[in-house]
Amino acid sequence: MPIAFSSTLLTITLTLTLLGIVSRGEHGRNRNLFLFAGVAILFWSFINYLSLQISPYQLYFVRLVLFFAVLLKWVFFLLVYSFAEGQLSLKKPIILFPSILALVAMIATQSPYVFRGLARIDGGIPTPVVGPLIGLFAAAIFSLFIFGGIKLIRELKKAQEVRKKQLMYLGIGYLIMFLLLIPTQFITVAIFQNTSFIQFGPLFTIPFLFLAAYAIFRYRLLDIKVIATEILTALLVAILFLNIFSPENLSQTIFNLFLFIGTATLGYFLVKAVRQEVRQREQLETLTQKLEVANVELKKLDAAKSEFISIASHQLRAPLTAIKGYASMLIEGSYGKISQKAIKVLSNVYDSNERLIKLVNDLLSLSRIESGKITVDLAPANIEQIIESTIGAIQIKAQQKNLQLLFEKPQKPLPQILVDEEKIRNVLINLIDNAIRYTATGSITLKAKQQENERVHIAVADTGDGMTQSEVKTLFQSFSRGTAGMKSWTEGAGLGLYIADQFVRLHNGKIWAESAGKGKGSTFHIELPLNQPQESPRMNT
Amino acid sequence: MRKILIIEDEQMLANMYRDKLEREGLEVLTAATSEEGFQKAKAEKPDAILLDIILQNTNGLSFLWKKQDDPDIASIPVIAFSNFEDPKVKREALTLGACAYLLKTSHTPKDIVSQLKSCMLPENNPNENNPNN
Repeated sequence: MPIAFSSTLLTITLTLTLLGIVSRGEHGRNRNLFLFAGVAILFWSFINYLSLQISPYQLYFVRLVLFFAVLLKWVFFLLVYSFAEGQLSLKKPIILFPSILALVAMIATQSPYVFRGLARIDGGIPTPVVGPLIGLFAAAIFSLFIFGGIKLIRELKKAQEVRKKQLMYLGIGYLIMFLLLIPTQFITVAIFQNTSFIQFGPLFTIPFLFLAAYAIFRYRLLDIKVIATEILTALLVAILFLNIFSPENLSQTIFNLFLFIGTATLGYFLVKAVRQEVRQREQLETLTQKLEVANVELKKLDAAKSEFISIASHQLRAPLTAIKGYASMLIEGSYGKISQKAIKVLSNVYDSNERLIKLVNDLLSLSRIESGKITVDLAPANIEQIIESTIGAIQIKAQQKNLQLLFEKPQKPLPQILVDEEKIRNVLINLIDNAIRYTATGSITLKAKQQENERVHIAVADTGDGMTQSEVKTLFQSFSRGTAGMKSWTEGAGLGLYIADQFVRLHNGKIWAESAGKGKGSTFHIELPLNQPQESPRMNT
Repeated sequence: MRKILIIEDEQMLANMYRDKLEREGLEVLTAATSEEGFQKAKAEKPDAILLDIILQNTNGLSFLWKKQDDPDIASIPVIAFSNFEDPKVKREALTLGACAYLLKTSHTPKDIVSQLKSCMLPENNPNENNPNN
């Protein structure tokens, strides 16, 4: 009976393929039920095939087919409940009642009351003769189908998004299976004594098995590509395998055999390649999801850090204000005349406090830069005036070290340009402060000129320590200082130049440093455009 | 004698600025909240107000809003000062008529007195008094 053989082989191939796919899925009750259902189909297919062969044991095989038919529907029913509810309690009447019925029906199938025996109608294929308990068999099958179907419909109404789709796939498979099985395996046999469709019974369960496997185990992982490739390859290989046994001559057999081997080998590599591709995509997807979560966490942390720095800096400024205020008033003599020695000590207190204030200011600027909250308030300003007033504010520091702080004005006055005055002043203070710090003797000279490329150029040149080329390269990075700075001083955190760089960039400008080497002084350059672009994302004009 | 109202909730800082202003020959009134400051401004009509921006319960901006809407005191010059450095708040304070917005840590009491005096001058031009903090 070649059709029965082909059908059985096809069912076994497909079932094994699906079992292979599902066995790779996550462990759990659904997977176990699924594997159990697969094994039951394999048995059913095999016994079904035997039941169609004329032998002294044919009746027993027919009865076993019925046994497996009920068993399989029961497992499918449990699978539906297990997936729908996320758990499986046999104590629930809605599960218990059909289960008891299924159990009783399974036992009954082995008795002479469901199928009494086999009869040959008109000398044809032996056909089962139904007994009085065939109704019990029918009741078990129908109740399993109906209760399972009701459960699926109820869950579908409640479900959303991915789960709804999963339930839909499950429901479609369930419906197709029963629409195929009930007319062909029951009605035609019990009512019309026609067994010609019996051979397809196990095959008709495959749509459910396939859709359930896809819906339950792999839907989220989207590897339908692998399942489809595996099934198609398995089908092709199974057909070619069958082909080997229906040759016309020896050469055809050999050809078929090679074709089978070649296709099976190619199929193996094809499935392997597709599986690898899908696995990589899955890994990438998992990685992307993890990265997304990590990114959200990082953003939260970053916001918390910025908020902390902002609050802490604000709170730190209150006592610093008091120290600055009282120290300056004591030095000025607001609380009475004090000795020169005391003034010197108080000046040290004042200077140290200024360093702390600068550090807090730098930390706040850094926090704003890194959180992207910094903006520039552009207004027309005279660069020469900004330089002069900055020099005026910091001149005393240069004088304390007996350094000359000079401004060589341009021959032709500079035009007004759009800048955030506070930020440009901050940049200049940083550069001059650095120059004073790293210059033991000599001078610091500022120059400004308008360049031909529609830019204003400012230079701050000192006769100080100078830098190596590698120091120059890392100068504007956060928390980096030249080694000269490391040796001579410990007060700066290396934030000033980084902040200066960021502020100049916000103006679409450029900042860089040059030094001829150690002991040869340094020159810092700033270039600012004469005209700012109309639209700039972080500019307020 | 010219009269200055200091609205500042940090007692130590309020005392420090009071000391400095009194030594400069100015009469000083103090208030710890925006509401108390508003009442004193209405009652005493000071020549200038030194206004902290971060105050308990309310902030200095709400004082500026109320002052601007009250013709009795609308013309009194105000110097806003704070350790809260936010360009938006600064812009709003200046828009609401503050003569300057100073960062406390960037200015000694002496600087503040000089800013106050320049704000109190009739020829004062607010645009020239923007802070350089």
